[in-house]
Amino acid sequence: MSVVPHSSIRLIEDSCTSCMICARECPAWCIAIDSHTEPLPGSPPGPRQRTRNVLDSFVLDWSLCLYCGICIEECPFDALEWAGSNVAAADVLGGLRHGRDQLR
Amino acid sequence: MPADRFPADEVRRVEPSSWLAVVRAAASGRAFDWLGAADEIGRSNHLRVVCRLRATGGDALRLETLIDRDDPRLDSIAEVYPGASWHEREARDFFGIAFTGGDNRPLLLRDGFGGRPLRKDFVLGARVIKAWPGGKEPGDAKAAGRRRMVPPGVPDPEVWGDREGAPASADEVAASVVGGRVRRRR
Repeated sequence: MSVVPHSSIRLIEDSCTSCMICARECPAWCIAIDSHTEPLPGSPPGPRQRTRNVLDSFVLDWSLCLYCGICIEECPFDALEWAGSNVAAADVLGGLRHGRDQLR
Repeated sequence: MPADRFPADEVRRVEPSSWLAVVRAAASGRAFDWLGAADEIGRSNHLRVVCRLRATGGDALRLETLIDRDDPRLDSIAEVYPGASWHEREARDFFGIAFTGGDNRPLLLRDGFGGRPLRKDFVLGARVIKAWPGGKEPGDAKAAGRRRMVPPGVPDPEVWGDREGAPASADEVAASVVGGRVRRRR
């Protein structure tokens, strides 16, 4: 079994259901998620219409992250995993807030 | 890794009054590993102090004692293990335990810090004010919908904050700071 170093955390967008569990479990409050609901195709409109959550933004603030891995442990859909690449330094604090494009 | 690499510690319950004597008796052939404390609120009105000693061969002995949460004092074991003093100062900072005959200077908190941050009824004040990213429901654009969530460390406002009259008991606050959904305010 190969061991991935705990250098950063990767988001697998296709597995993410915007369930908010990682954001709630994070002891450092470093994950912020925006999402909205969309009706499922083929589901008739009305009170019983079935919807799904669509991820709008997923921001992980590396200036707050403890690298504890609780979000990875807790994610029921395995949408987060350890990655071997280090988080690059930034000129300003806000540069450590990585969105979906950087967490790929 | 095979489980027998880490055999279970031998655990011994000790009366607070005989704490120092038991540690001294157990000290021969054993090195100090660590000393810590835990808040037992919700089970009993006690603080648990745990001291782990390790024999040179490898097997470990864990001594545990329960002390009164409202008047937490215990004999210092620094005269047996001078290194334990550091751990006792930490337990003093975080749980407010007075170690008789030990070094009771603050270690990690500034002098005069008002609170015992590892007691379970300690409210994380900054978290009451700051917006919690986990407060949103999946699919909701903003927080505070029909069902309100509070983060761990922040009690239900009905228990702490909005409460009128006598302050809530430590029991009630400790049970309330685990986070989760709270009743909607009437």
